[in-house]
Amino acid sequence: MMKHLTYKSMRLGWILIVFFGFTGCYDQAAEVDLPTYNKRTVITSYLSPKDQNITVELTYTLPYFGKQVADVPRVGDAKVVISDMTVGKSVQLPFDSSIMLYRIRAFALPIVNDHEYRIDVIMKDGTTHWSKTRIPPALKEADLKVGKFVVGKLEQSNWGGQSVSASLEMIAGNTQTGFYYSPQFEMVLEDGNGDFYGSLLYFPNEGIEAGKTGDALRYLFNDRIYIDQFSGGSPALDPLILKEVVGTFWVMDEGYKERYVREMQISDNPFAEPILMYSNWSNGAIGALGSYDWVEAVITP
Amino acid sequence: MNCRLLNTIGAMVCFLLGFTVSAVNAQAPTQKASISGYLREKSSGEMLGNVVVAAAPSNTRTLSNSYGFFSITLTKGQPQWVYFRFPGFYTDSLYWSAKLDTAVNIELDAIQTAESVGTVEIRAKKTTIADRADMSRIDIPVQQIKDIPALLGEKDVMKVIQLMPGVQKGGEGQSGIYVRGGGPDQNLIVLDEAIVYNASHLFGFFSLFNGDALRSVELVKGGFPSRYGGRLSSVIDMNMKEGNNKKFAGEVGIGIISSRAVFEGPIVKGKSSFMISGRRTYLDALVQPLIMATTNGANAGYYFYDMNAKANYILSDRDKLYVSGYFGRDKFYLNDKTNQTQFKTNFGWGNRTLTTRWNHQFDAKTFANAALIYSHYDLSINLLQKENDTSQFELDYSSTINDYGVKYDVDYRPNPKHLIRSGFSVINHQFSPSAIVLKVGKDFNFNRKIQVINTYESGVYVEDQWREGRWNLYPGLRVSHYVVDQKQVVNPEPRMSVAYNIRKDLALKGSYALMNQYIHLLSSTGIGLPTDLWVPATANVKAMQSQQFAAGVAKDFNKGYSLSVEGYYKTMNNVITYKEGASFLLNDDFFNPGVSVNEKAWESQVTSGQGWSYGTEVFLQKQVGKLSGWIGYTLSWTQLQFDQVNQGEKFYAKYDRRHDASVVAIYRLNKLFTASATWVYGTGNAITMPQGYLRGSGHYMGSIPEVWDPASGFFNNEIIDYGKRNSFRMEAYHRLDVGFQFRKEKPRGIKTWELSFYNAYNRFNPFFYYGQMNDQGTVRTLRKATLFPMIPSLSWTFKFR
Repeated sequence: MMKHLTYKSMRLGWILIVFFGFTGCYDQAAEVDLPTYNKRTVITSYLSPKDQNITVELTYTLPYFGKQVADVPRVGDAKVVISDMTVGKSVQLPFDSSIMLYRIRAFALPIVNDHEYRIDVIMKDGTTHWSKTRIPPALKEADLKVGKFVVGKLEQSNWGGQSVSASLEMIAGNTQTGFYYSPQFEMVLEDGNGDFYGSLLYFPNEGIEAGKTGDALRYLFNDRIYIDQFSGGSPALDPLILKEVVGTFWVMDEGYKERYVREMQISDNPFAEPILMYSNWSNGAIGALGSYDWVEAVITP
Repeated sequence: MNCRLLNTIGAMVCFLLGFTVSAVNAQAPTQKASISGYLREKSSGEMLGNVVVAAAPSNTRTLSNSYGFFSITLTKGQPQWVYFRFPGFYTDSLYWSAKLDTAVNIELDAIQTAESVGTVEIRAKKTTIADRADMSRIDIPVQQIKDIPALLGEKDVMKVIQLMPGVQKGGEGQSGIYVRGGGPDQNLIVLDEAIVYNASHLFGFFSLFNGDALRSVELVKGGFPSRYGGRLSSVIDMNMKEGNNKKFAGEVGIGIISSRAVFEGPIVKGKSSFMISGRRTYLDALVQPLIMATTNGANAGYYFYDMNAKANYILSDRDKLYVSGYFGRDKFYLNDKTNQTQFKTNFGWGNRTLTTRWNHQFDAKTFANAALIYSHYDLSINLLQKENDTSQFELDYSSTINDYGVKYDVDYRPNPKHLIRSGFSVINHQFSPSAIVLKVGKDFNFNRKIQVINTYESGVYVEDQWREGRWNLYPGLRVSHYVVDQKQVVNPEPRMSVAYNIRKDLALKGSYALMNQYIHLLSSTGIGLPTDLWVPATANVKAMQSQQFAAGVAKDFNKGYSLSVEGYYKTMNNVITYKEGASFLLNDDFFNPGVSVNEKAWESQVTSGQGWSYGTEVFLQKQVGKLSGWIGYTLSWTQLQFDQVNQGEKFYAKYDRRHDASVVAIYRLNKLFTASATWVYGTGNAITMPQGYLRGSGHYMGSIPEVWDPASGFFNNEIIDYGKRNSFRMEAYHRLDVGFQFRKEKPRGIKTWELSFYNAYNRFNPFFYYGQMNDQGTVRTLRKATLFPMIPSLSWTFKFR
């Protein structure tokens, strides 16, 4: 539904622009001082038990207005240390100049579900920044189930193709308060000819739900699925049946979720209140230390 | 509702009222006589409120109420001259022997009316501001609204209110107002006792209120009388004209974007009258060719219309009945149809009000008004897309508020020193924040009829206008009561205004008011679109509360000049805003309506915080003479703080305005020509602008789950660093409007041509800013979009008699 709304809102927006254009909307260079640019340290790191490396990116912001540079300013002379607070072990991450990141193989300090990690960054001038994250609990394939679903009848599109309306409810159990959950999945449909069709479904934003210990989360999806056909192939035939749902079930901590949600919502819409960049680093640095995990799932309704 | 609680409140008010009345009567002489009656305009029979009624030699004074009723009680046998004074009218007087209770009906003759074009200036003595106990209150001169130049010639009461000190406009062209740091939802806008929720047409460019239909407009910014409640920052109390009860009259106006008409006259001569007015824009017809050209033949447009109607009937010398209503709607429509597809959109919002009032005069000292009130606001969006005549997608969204209210007010004037007012009001608010009906394809229907949220807001009050020597006191108490979710809250709201007359023309004033507001406006844009949601205070989202202290000095000068200087400090608690990253589009549960998505899902999307506003206002006004107008200046600061916004730090509100000034001048050269000008200046709005940005490395893409958006690879996007909330100031806003009115008297009426220039010196005030990269991608500049350049307009009005 959101896709439809977005599309129609855009058309509505264009008409309004034309309408207001009639009264006159004039574009001029601003006669005001540019916003003050404060160079800020940006630290980004996402930890996952599934990753083979532990990686930290250290950079600076660039001025939004004025002269632009192509290169991303990297900081390679800082000291970066990661600690597993649960077991009391620390390692320093060396700077890898080939990829301009601080990186170490994960076996040097395994990233484990439910463990708490802390990263300390000591800049060359002595400024320090730190942040902490708890790795989300491990997910099981059985944590995600298919709830109710409706698959409509095939319809002809005006360009000659076929489409079908589908609604699907996913139920996530065994979630934990303090973490966020989101499924990405593909509905596999079988038609009357015995052919299979798939459609990748995911939630661009609203599908990230806060976990609730002892309670199930419910995700609802509704959209039109367009049937792709091979050249020369026969059209799909009613009835379409949902055979299985194949996908990935994600869990993340607040740092990862906040960074993601805000980046999706930061835009140049002049009327919207901008979303300030998320930070869970100390001492004025921006960026996020986040953690995540996932499990692949094949679910039969 | 809890009857015991209501009984308790009622008993409390009765006690307060009884105690006050007993106290003032104890001081009064036992042998008294009263003179009372109604004040009307001679030519039309319209009631006149706020007329100064003064008696000499006892040197007593009072004001007529909004229904024109006045009463003075004095010691028997002391003859008096009683004077009736009102700006723009000849002063009238009568000799009263004061031996018996006397009832009179006084008709005041206007010095300058449209019919008597020959008169060139207003000469009457005016109500002195130094002599009034209340402060932070302005009577908007309705007659002057017609003389003040306006955008596209559309006379707009809200735009005139924006020219008053302490009132800030939202943005270019908008009629939303921000009073002493409060948001647009904190203004109680009342039309004939009915609350108006969305007071704007055309996304805020014009106000709902047709100036032709209004008799009086009063703005209260602080020191609120106890009879008002339910909003934190201001009261805009408007009354419609009653209608000429002596002869049929009317006025027709044709402007660039709209036409209007008002008709009034007697139903039963001297007994009953009516007034009906209407407006309709024809912008849709004007822009249709342009839209068709730019959209391959789409039929699209926008229009608004509104209608005011009022009728009254004099039941007896002591009873009068009024029925009045407002009906207005904005509609945007688009119908884009090709051979195989159709896209149709309707987007509209509207207000409806209906008020029935019964005035009853119990005796010479006691006047009462009972009112039944209905108010409605709705927003609806309908989207339809069809392919091959098959319904592919259809969405109906609606949001509605219905108010049903009853109100009862009593004015009691036991003696010249006291005017005691008391009463109660009960409103049942019925909110339907968002109802959705969705149809996709042939098979999928979703119908979410949100349950109506019922809340009950009531208030009982008592207040006294107490004049004692050089002191003018205005104590009051309101007790508000609110019920939602089977829970209730009771909040006492003490009010106090004090004035001390150092001299007859010089007074020091102070006031305190505590206000509660049980309704919130959830705004996702900050510019007040009709899509903003009105939601009630709930058990989880508390009512807003403010406290305001104000102090000032008022001085009257010769030649009709008056000056007031006021300072204020206001705190606001439990103001709400969307959390950063929150979405106002709720997740819809297509399978279990009302289970996981309930009517209060918005509660989890908002965060509450605090606000502070303080400043100084200067208001120099001249109401009489060839040259009239005012100069207003405000120096103010407004800050907000939310735990979950701006990392919990305080920030300046978007409409925090350090300096705000307005100059209004109306010059009546002779009977045929009037020139007017307004100039406004305001510090730029505080907004959030990009300061820096960062780029992701791209090395993460291998390990970051692709669930998020593999197409854009958002971690490689340019991510904007906005710095602190509202840390950037827009350019200062200033603008000059000028207007010229040319009148000509015709046998059947008066013809007026008006030529006006909005933004006369063509100032490019910013509407919004944006960054623009040069073609080489090496330099990004800050640019602004301006909405209105200099706009001339011409209108024609004919007032017939």
